[in-house]
Amino acid sequence: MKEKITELESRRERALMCGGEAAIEKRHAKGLLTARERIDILVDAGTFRETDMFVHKDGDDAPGDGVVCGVAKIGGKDVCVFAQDFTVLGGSLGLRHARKITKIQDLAAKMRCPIIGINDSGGARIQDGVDSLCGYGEIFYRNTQLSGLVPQISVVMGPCAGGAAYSPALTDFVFMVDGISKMFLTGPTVVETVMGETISQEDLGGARVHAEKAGTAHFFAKNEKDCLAQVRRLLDYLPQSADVKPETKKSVDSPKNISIESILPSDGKEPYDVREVVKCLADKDSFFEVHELFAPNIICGFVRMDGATVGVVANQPNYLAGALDADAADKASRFIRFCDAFNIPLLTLMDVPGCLPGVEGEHSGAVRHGAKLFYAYAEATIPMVTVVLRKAYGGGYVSLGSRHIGADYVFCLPTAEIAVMGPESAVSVLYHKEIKAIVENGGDVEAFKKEKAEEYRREYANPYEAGAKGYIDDVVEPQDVRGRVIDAFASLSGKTVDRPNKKHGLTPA
Amino acid sequence: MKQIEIEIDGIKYKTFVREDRFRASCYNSMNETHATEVFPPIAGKVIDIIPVGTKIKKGDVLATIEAMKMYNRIFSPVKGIVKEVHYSVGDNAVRSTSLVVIEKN
Repeated sequence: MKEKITELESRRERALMCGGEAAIEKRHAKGLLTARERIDILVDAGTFRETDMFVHKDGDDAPGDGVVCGVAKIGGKDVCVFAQDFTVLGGSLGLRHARKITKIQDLAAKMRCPIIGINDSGGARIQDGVDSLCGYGEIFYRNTQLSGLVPQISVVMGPCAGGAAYSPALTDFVFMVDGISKMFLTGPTVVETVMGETISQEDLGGARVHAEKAGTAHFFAKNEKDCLAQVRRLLDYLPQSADVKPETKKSVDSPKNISIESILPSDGKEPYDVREVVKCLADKDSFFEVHELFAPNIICGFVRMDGATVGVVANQPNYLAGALDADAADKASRFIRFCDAFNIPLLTLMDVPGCLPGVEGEHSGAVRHGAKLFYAYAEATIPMVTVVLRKAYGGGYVSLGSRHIGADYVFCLPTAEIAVMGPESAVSVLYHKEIKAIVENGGDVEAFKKEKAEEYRREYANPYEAGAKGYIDDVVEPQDVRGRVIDAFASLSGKTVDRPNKKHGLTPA
Repeated sequence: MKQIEIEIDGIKYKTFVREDRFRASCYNSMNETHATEVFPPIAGKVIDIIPVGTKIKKGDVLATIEAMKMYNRIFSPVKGIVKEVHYSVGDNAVRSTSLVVIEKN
């Protein structure tokens, strides 16, 4: 027995050494953490239980076959984890490497707990031939089956190139680290050879590019430790699976030093930072923004209200007037569908002047992208409360959680303007003939337009026309909004919606 | 049309460019070094715009454009001096023509 235990110990020691001391030192010299160090920082101390430590490639000294897998706890709750180990064969994906990942994916499905994958791999293991393609396919298949069942989080901490890039994109949230993460389908060398375009890895598929432009990354981190801390924070808001609701924490009051009244400018054309409004409504220090750098004209994030997780979608008047465009619709609709899949109630703060006009937008598919927003709200069965802060015009109003598209409660501030179009545009349409006549007679057309616009504003740009028709539930003073929203969500905690049974709908693409 | 001479990998070439494109392309190539050209992120009516010669800090307001029923403030991405201003108050700003050119310092 003793001999056997000694052998076990030596094998275990070998596996724990990953690619060997030299390889680890080389990593540390570059300021990078190893796969095991990353897991240690991510999970609660001492909770990691490794699986498949002894898996390796036939006749090869490849400890763990380049990936570390196991179960652990984060914030006291179960999670499944895998981390690709760049010190072993460059973290390349061979069949056994892939099967370790699919095994832990299957375990996450059985345990009904979140799964976190740390990606750091040179790509397919060429020597394994089509076996590595099989491996990728089996991982992607499970990413899709797990989608909407348990939260799936991808952390890109190194290269994630070629087909490998699709796995993070199939999961719910992607984290990337400045200067370390690189994700692209074809790298700079191929881009240069084929297209004649010279570009660095960082500019082609670094963290900033994915967080700001491509929108692939939901979270941008300065360094690895910051990134892993953000993963822990995100998980704190989420339920273990689609079968349960997120945990309710101790209720904390909203900050006392700011108020909606002081944030909203008295001139309706002046912008403001809607994040401040979110902070007024949320439990103190609970706002955790998702996709912060992408499509800043709409804000998405998690907050707590009376201790419970709530998803927030809010137009941002500080950027592009808060108008909707394709990226904003993509960002918000994806977030809403996540909330719906995982029983997270949704609060919408509306201040939308409409959709951004332009040839470029129309030609790049503003219609089919914008349609996703309608679809996401209409499909959702979670409790949904909408607060109209100011502007609520046209299709923007309908799509962003209006009662017509599925909201359970719609509250308006007294500053709300719900109308088909803005006063100036409406006057041009309604008084088309009169304006033409004034122009022909050399009259003061600007004065006429101004007068009529004022008339229209008084008549229609307010919450009371919609109120008269029962399209909103109440007009509320700014200081009462938080309380009303909390009460509304409480009343909806048992919300039940019956839908006809079907295979699945077709989201606009 | 304007004739210009360019040098690529040590070899000199002569070519013609349209006047209106010339300015933009010049500044783009100068981007990294001295000048920054700021384009409007949204098309609309210019409500106010900074005068030529103003010294500015990063984050200062360069212009206000009324669009989508809102005043949209355009902030300076750099510190420097406003070298050129391409619109007057009341003009309709378009995405393809820059608002100002800033010489960095």
